[in-house]
Amino acid sequence: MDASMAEHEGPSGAEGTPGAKDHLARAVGVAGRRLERAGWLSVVSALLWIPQAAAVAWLLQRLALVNLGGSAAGEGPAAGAIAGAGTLSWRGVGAAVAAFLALGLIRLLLDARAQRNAAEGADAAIADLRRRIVRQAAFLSPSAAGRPHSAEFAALAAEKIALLRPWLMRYHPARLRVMIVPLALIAVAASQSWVVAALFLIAGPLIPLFMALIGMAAQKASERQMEELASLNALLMERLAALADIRLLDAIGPVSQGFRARAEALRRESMGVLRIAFLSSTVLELFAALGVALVAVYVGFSLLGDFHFGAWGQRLSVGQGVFLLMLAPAFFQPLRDVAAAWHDRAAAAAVSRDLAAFEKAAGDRILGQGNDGESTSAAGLPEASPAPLPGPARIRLRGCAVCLPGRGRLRLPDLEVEEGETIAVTGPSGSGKTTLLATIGGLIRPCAGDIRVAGGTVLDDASADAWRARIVWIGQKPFFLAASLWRNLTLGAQVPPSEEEIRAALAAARAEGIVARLPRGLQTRLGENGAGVSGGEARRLLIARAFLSRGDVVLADEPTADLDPDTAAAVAEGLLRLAKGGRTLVVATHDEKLAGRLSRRVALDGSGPASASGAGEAHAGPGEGRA
Amino acid sequence: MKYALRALRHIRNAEGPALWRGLMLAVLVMLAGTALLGLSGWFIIASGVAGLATGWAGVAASGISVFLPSAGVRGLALLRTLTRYGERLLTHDATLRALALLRVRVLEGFARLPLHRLQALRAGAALNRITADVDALDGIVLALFVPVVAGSAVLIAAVAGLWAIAGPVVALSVGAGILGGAIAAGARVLARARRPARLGECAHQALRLRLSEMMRGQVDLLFAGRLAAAAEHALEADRRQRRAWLETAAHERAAAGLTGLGGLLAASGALLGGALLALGDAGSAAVAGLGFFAALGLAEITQPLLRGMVEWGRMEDAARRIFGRSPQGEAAEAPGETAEESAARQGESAQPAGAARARSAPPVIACRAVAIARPESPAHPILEGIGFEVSAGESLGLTGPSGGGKSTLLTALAGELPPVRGEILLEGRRLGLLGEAERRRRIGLLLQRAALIGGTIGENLALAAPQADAAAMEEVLRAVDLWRVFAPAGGLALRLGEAGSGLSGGERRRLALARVLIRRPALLLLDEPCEGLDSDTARRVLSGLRRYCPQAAIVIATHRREEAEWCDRTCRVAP
Repeated sequence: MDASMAEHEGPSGAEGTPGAKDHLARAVGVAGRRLERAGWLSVVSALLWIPQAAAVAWLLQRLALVNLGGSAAGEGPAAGAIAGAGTLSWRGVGAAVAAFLALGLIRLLLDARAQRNAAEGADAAIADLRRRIVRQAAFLSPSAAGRPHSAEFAALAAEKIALLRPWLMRYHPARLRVMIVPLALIAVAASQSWVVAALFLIAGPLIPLFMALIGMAAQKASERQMEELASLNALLMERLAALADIRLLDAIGPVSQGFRARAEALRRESMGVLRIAFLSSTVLELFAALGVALVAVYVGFSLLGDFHFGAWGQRLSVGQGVFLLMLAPAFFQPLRDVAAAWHDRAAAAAVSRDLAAFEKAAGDRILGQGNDGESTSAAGLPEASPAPLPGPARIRLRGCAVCLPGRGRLRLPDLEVEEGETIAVTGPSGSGKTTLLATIGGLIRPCAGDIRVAGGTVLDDASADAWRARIVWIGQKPFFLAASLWRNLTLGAQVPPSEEEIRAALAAARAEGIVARLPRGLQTRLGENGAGVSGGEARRLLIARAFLSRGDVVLADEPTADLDPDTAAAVAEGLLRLAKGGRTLVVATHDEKLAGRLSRRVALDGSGPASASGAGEAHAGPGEGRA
Repeated sequence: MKYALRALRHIRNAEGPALWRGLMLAVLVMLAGTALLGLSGWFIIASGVAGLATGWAGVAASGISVFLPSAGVRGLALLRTLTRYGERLLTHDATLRALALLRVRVLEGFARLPLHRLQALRAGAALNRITADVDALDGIVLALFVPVVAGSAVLIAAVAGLWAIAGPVVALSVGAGILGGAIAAGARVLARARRPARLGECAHQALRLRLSEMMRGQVDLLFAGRLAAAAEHALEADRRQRRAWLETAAHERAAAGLTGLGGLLAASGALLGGALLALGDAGSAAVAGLGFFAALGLAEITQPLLRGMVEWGRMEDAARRIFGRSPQGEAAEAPGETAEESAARQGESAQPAGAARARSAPPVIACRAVAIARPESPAHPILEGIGFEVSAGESLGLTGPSGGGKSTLLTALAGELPPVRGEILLEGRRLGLLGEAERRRRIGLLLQRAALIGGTIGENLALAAPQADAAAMEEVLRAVDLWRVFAPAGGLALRLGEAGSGLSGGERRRLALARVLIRRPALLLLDEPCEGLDSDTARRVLSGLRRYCPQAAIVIATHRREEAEWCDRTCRVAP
């Protein structure tokens, strides 16, 4: 089983953005051979029921004749059937039971093999799909339209894709079975009684017809349920991340009320899906049960001699009756299986719709190749980060503008940054300082103009990864991985730094005291946004991380925003120390003191129809004095 | 086991009657299924034998009623189909209802954690608890409780019935086959499948966590050159999850094989036993057929159990995480007020708030010789001998170095952290004795890292003030100098991204401040309210804030000159 994991690397290479159906086709393609094998194994197993039923029918026929004993000698309309029978040896009983048992064992083994093939095929398809979308998500632009909430994406990749499993495992083998087994059973039944065959022929096709109707409703219900599931996940994630604030705002009551209503709504949608599933299987069972009951009643009356039609030649014998009765449920079983899988198919269609929506958003990527080529080794080890782009750390923006979804077009200033320069980007809140840094970092694809980095290389998909290998990013919102502080500090380090180096970096950022105070020192796990240390402390830890990183271009977004004057001065000192080692600094800041210590200032005026937040900056609202 | 039983108890308490009705129907379904096949087999063979022996005329004379069994066959077919529909609806609905309630309880349990633990809560992990873990519990009812109880009842009834009709040999071989298969499957699965089920669930939750971390920390990871590695890290959890799933699926096949074998042996045993009895003149062919077909029918009662057996490890773990010894667990079991709250309530009735206020006008907040310690190290106070008073309309600035304890002091002033020594009085009353609701109504605390929620601006404000209308919201946004920013971009309907993304740091900060202000608390505790704002905006926000809450007592933890200068007084806080 493990060996098969490695070979599931799947069809690689470039393919376009597939639509909803293509995802399913691709999944089936990956699972292909195994699913087919599973189907054929299950067909053979289903057909083996015929000899099993024959063995039982033979035995019961003989028993019935023995039961009649001598009393029936020559009398009655069935005299012909009795002639030459009436005895049954112990060995005969043993042989019939042994045949039934042996065939049953073979069927169990075949079923297990079929299941195994189906499971492995489905697993290969799941692996392929997950790998694909996870790698796409990693390089999804932060400003992409329709970018899923992190919890929504996690639900898509972890849970929803797993919903394709039952569809792959059941639908395809069942489809093969339904094309072969019922026809075979009709032929066998016809050899005994054309009435039973006719009953099968009439009742059979009704089932797929009903299923098609129900399947459409099932898909709608599945889609609704999935939407509810994803939005519930996203809602909860938001509420949980803000739970401390919510409690302080005395909003736990309403939030839990609201959540309760949503949880109920999810239950209702889930029940909607289940109700259709149950209803469809009920309709099916009804058909199947009535079909079986009709066969039983027909056979019973024929045996009693009430019906004289339907069988070839003579009346039905007891054995034929039993045989037909045993065939009836087996005839309906593949139809029921397909119908049950229709429901899985509806779920799969809903998932594929979500996948298509995700891929559409994923078209808006961060600049760079990322690692979404199938270049990873089979063992799943990540490739080494790309080598830094060679050349002087010179940055030039000419006529650049970015178009953010829903926020209009924002013109960026023309900019020349020489190696070793330290630039302060200033301007009112919302004037696009962060956007400028993000564009230089290749996070946002400009919709006009060109950016040259490293002394003349155009910043594009080919160069972005190598360019970023030279950048140290100090973001506005501290983010800490769910790992030790040590791991977080050394995140951007090429080689694991020694304890000395870590201590030096902490000292340079004036952060050594923070670590000393933490209960577990460098082994402490901080909250996602740095809970456990104060805002100023979190910022200083990020700056310590920058000292440990390999890059020589520092992009810092408000590095002193929430530090007291002393610490802010120390951090500014640290940043300048970074610059002294030859690093280039671009800092977005409000801090006049910090801006004054840098070599040059680029002022953004926030003019132009910029971002939503920048749009109104120029004129104050009525009644708003400038204190 | 203990926790799984607690989960079962929770579901029973929430949806008992529906559950019992579902159970009754489940018994009926299985009985009808077994009887249907048994009766059909008997009917065919009996009529065959009768027809052979005597012809149609003889049948009428022999007294075999043809119509009764054939009507029985049809009736049972209908009964089984319809009751199964009812049973599935009832049990699923009851279970899902109980689980929806449990989700809410778990969320409320999280909300009751102490503030510092709440702030350290990782949303992704908590989300797993409320969704994945709760989802895992449905099998305790649907795949274990109902099939085991109903299946046992039906097996006993069927064996007793067969004993009466076909004698002990057939009855016992059928019973032994079915029960033996189920027990063998259960024993094998419990011994081997718990581990992969458990590992699979761990890996599944790790996958979710890693994926949401990759998405939330995307930019930091990207520039650290670790984004691709983070994706591979998530895919590693995916590999573990799938490996565990394949292993679990193999155990499920084995369990299906064993119960299938049990059914096969039961049917063969019934056939053999019936045949021997018939040959020995102790029974008839019809009875042999009845035993055989009933065994085929009974083989189906073990099918619903398979999932329950295989997923036992996963369910057990999920139940332990939810019901284990943790505040959430206790909250999930017995929601209600804490002892402190009820004491506070009694204290309140002894001294009505109105009377206290009428006597004099005590300062809104007063500290007397207060010492506080961080919750992680309660034995070592970081601040001692704090004493100050702030009256309505006054403001106090707390200054001091980062990490000096300003935020911790604000937490204590909000009543979220009891002081180690000294007392804190809110309007003359001991803070610790106030009910939580009262405290929340009177005090507004802006955390240093206040979190916004996705959704519209209006939704963010409605969180704090559900009754506030659009005019009130606009007013508070004007006070923090945000209305002119939002108005051209959609106003209250402006939609934010995940965790309030789409706003700049300063805008986020001001929106969080507006959320606190709109409640117009008597005491405003603000931890660096102007973080991320330029000097002009900061001044506008501070004056707007005072105009909006003219009577509030305001305590600000600050580093900034603008903030400190704006305060009436400042107080240096340092260890």
